[in-house]
Amino acid sequence: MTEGSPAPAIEISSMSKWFGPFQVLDDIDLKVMPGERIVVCGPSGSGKSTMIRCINGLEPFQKGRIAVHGQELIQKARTLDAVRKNVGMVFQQFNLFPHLTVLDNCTLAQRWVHKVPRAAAEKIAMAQLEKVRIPEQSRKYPSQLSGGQQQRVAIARSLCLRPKVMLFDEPTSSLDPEMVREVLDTMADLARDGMTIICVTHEMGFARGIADRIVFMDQGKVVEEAPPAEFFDKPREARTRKFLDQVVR
Amino acid sequence: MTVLLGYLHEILQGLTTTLSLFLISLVIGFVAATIVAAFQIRFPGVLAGAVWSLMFCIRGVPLLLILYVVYYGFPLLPFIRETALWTVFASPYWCAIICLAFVEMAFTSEIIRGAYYQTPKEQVEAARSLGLSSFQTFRVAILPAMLRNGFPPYTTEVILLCKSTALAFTITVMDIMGYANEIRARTLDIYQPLLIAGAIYICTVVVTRLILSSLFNMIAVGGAETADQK
Repeated sequence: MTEGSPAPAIEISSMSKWFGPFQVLDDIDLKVMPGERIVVCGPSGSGKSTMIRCINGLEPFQKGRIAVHGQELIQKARTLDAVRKNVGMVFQQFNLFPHLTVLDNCTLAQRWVHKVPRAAAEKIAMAQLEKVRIPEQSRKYPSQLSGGQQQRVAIARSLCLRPKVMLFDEPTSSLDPEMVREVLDTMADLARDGMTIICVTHEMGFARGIADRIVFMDQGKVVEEAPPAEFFDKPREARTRKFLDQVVR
Repeated sequence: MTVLLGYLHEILQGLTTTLSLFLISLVIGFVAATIVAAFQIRFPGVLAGAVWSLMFCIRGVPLLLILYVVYYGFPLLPFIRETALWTVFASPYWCAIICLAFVEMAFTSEIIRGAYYQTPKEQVEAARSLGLSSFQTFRVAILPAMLRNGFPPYTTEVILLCKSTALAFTITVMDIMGYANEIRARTLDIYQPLLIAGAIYICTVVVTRLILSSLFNMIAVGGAETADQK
């Protein structure tokens, strides 16, 4: 840590990961400051999802280190729990608990992990549901909601735990096109509120509008890392240009 | 008609025996299956493999054969004949219950295991990423998924067990089948007692199904099956 600069929210240094003999992440270095919004993009199979799954310990890694707000990630139940308290995660498939109402989905971890009394937990949950603009759905079950609504509930569920960092793993990839907007808007609200965000997405418009920095990955490596204007308008690497030719027209 | 009512009355004497064979072996079988399945899931390895193979063999052998081994074979073994075990194995009723429960354990443990491994890993990841402990994850993510996935095959299994109790009559247990067969042998009326027994079995199965499906709806609220409920 250099003199005078604030501590990073997330610090990944020379992290590598293998699935058996296959190396999925190759010497990743990434530093994210509090309040920074990072978009990670790249072709499928480039390791971007795997990388953010490592940040909250859903995937183990074999080399290097990851620290979240100074808390180093070690594959031990207690440190993982400590890290996960600071890190919220939103998945491509929403992953709400289908047998619980929207409200119960949002209060469950508060009550079980943080020992918040039910009434207080419900108040917090309603406030978060308000924020993602679906308080009126709180008594319904996930299967009664549209994909976009489910994803917004999943975001609210994470926010209820007051995370310092939010990870998004392709949050709009399994949504109908007309529902993408509402989820992206919710994420933009979060960004405006100063949340530290790392988001894996193919939504280049969102990346350009919201991100402070874009990280481009290919074959398990970070190929290029730049602010959006620079990234889209004058990418340094040939591989980045090739990718952008495919996704942006 | 009076003859038929007489048959019905006589056959119904076996109803308690049939029902108690069914329910007692169901409960014992389920508890044993839970333990066996939990062991295999919790401690994978050579021992779990051995347990699985044993269950596979039990499933592969006709129930009637197991019944005969226990009822006719066990009395020949000194350690059963000369110990307290004899009080159990001397009774054809308890022999039948033990055999039914034993086979039920072998089938149900596989249903439980199957339901466990069908749990979507995304559900588990969601729970872990919220910071839930492994027990809490089991309670909120794995168990409900197991109930959703395991209930339909388990219903089938329970109904098969209900009908399998009829084999107990081959070792002199007087259940519904036992009484029906007795009337058949005594009167040489073949269709009447057997059809009456069949009707009673169907009624039992229908009631069992109703109980199980209402139990399922009670537990699995909010799943895809009950999407329209408030």
